[in-house]
Amino acid sequence: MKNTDKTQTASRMQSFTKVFAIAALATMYTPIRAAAQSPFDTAGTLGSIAGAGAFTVAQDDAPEPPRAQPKSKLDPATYLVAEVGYADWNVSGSRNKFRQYATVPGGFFLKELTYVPKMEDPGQYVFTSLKGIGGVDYRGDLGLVYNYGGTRISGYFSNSSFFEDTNAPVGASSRHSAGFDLRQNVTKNFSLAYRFKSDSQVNRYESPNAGENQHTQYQDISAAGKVGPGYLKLSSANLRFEDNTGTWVNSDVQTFAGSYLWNVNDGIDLQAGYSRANIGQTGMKGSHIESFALNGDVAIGSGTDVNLAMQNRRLSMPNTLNDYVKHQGIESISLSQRYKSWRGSISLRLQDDERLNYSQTYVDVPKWSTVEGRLSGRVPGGLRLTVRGYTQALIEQPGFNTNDPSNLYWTARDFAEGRLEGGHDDLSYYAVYTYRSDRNAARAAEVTTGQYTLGATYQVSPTLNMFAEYHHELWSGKAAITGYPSIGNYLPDVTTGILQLTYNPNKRAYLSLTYTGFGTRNDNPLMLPDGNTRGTFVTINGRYKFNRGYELGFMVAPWTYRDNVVNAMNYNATVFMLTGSTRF
Amino acid sequence: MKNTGSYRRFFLYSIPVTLLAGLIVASVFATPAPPKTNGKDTEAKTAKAAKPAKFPLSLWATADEGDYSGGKNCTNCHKTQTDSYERSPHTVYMKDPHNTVDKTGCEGCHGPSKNHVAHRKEEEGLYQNVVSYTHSTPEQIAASCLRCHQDTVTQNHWKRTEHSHAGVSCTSCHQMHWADRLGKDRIRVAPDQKNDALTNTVGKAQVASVFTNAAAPKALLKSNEANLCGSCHRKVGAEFRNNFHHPVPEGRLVCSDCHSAHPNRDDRKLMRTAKQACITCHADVAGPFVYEHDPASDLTGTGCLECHNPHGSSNPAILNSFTRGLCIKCHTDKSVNHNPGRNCWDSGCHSAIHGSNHDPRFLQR
Repeated sequence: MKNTDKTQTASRMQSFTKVFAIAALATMYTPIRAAAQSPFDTAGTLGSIAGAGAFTVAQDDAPEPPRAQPKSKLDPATYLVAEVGYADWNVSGSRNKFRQYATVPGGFFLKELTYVPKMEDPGQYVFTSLKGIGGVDYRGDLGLVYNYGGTRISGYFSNSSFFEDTNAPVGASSRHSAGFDLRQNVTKNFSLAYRFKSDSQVNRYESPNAGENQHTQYQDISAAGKVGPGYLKLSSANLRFEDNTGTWVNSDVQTFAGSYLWNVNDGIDLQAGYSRANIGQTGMKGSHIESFALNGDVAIGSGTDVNLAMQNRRLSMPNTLNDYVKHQGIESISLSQRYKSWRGSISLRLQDDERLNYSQTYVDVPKWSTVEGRLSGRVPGGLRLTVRGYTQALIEQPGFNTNDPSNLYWTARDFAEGRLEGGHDDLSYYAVYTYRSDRNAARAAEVTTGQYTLGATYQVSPTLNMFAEYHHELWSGKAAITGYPSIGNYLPDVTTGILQLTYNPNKRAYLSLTYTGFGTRNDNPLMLPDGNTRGTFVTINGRYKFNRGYELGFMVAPWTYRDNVVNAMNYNATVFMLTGSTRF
Repeated sequence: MKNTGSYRRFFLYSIPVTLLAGLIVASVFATPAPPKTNGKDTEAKTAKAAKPAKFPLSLWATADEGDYSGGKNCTNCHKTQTDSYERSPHTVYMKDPHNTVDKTGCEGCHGPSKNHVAHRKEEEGLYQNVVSYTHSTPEQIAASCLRCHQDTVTQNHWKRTEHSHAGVSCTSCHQMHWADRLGKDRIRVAPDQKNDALTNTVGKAQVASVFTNAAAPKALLKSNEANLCGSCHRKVGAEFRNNFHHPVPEGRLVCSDCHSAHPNRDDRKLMRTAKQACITCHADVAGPFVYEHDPASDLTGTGCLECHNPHGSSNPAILNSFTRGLCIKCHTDKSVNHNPGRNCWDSGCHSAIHGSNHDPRFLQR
């Protein structure tokens, strides 16, 4: 059996080598062919000859002959694209799971209508784009720039419809958002800006959870630009939250902020900022949060920088009755060093929270210290290595007033990540490993994860590209209280993978095949949905562009989702989509 | 009432402030003094002592008005590039008649054309007389772009960003020349240019084309943000392929909705916290509540990230543990005997887990 495998592997290697050799020859041949046929290069050659001649003639003080004008390699510019389509989901099983995040258009729809007019005035720019009209999920963008006078306006609106992945029938959730920006340059280096956003959300959940129906409105006005030797920014923002179900308290947050970045000289920058947020809630006392921050960068050498930062927050929340932070301080110092292709940095961060306890009679001050580092650079073999990580310790613990008064905070947290990347013109590859560990000594609790990602992009031939990636997460956990189920039984391992082939036989045709898959391994002690899942998504996508800008596209997407515990969550879908577009 | 924080804090703050003040003073005194002169050759010596602008800034700094052609010569050789430039929204700004000559047209980005034309056949001097963004270092690229874009980030700040440390510069993400005025095929300026790996990196973007309503890339980006950012942030790209994720692959969100690629100008770096990015959409959990749930209040630990992995997770609600395993990581005493059933929050019990105005155990919103 093993010999057979070896034979097959050898055979595959030979085929691979042949393909690679053909690809290499094709790569070598293509430029020669292109050089022979390209009008640009012909013109370039003529230009060189003419140039040489011009040099010779110029010595005789004769006029230079006219140069041959090169031709553009671009297709003619287009100003309008209109694309329509038809799609059929062909879905069986849980439609809610299928439509969980965004809704695939169904039936006839306008895929895209984008218009960028040819404006003779170079100082103006307009675009408008509509997408997905005809379905419940659509988007529109509008942009308008008047460069004379320094005014800029842009806007958008969008609607999305989606579902919670429930096995019981639950109606659609939706989100509708719209907004616009207005910016006026007062001087060359100073501008005023106004932003407005409106966001309405209706979320429907499975019983016994109540649904949500809320509206958020955000607007801000800011003045920013160069003032004196630095950069000044002043802003005022208002966030209004309204709950239409009457469950949550309506709130209004008014924030004032100002910051100044002072470029002392080429090596020193200082930035200071202040903000105050006034929080008003219906039927409740007002709260406020003040922040003051100071940040300084000092270059102490050609490749050495020091950064110092401090942040101070004061909170007044008279309605809050349980443990809350009334004051928070964060200080950090970091040193970064550049040496040839290597860059490294190390920093120390201290944080202390002054907490008022549940009875409001005692203040405790938990403190954390964090050491963080990063190193990256080139290593032999054309590889690039990046290593980063941090270790955090809870150096002073607070008290807790719970059934089990043991410390609830993590007493130590460690994180490390290593990344190796390499490649050449036709191949790029990478490997990433991440480790994280959170520990609570008082409860003998520990959660650890190790995750790795391997991937590569390979240009098999000038027309064929391949991309593959594999990602795996391993989780484990333990605590002083053992028995089934424990923490470790609630931490599933997960694997995701992707393989994609893209084929561009010529300038007009495009074909891609994408396979994406994921799967979980879960003890799932409570036998709940979404715990033991497997998804397989294949998408075949093709496009062909005709002479006069017409384009036809198709998509076939057989998707499969399986929940091994709750079969009602399963679905099979074969999305078929046909689109046609034209350009003017 | 016991308050021990104020004095400690005073000493704690005085350390970085003192250090910072010391560094500023040291840096000012460390600046080399101008050389002493004795009369006649004062001007010449001062000129000699003045620090010359480094390439590529020197191209603009040393140019006279006559060194600029107004872009007339460029089309003679770079027809494809001038055509693609005309199709880009960047042109709107480069053709502004209020601009000075050194910030107008092709020469606004590539430097004055006179010396480039004169030395165009010299292999050695070719790229010393023009700013070629494919032959420049990340520092040189940033220096060129930040001549105008100082309101985004200054040169001093840029070189201290994580992006700068990783060798990522402006043209790593932004593209000034468009093959198509409509913004399609931004990567491929020339048809025979090899397809960039960016277009295939995240991969699921191909699946995203099923979802037709994604917003178009803005700010002259080379590609949609999922592909663009994912080309370096590989692990994050992989996390979006999990069963539960924010709808970035579907085009409903983009990376810059939560992250700032130019962090030093942004208040987020200075004063904001992770939660403030989350509550832009999830305003219902912003609080403050009468009864705060400590990790959700964003004042200890990592705030929202204590429980959620915003990019993607195999667990519902992008939690970083499955069901009630999330709670027993801290509340270890509730692991075995405390009402075994469904999740702690959606079984009708702790339904206000982000905070409650009525119940200290978060049983009611």
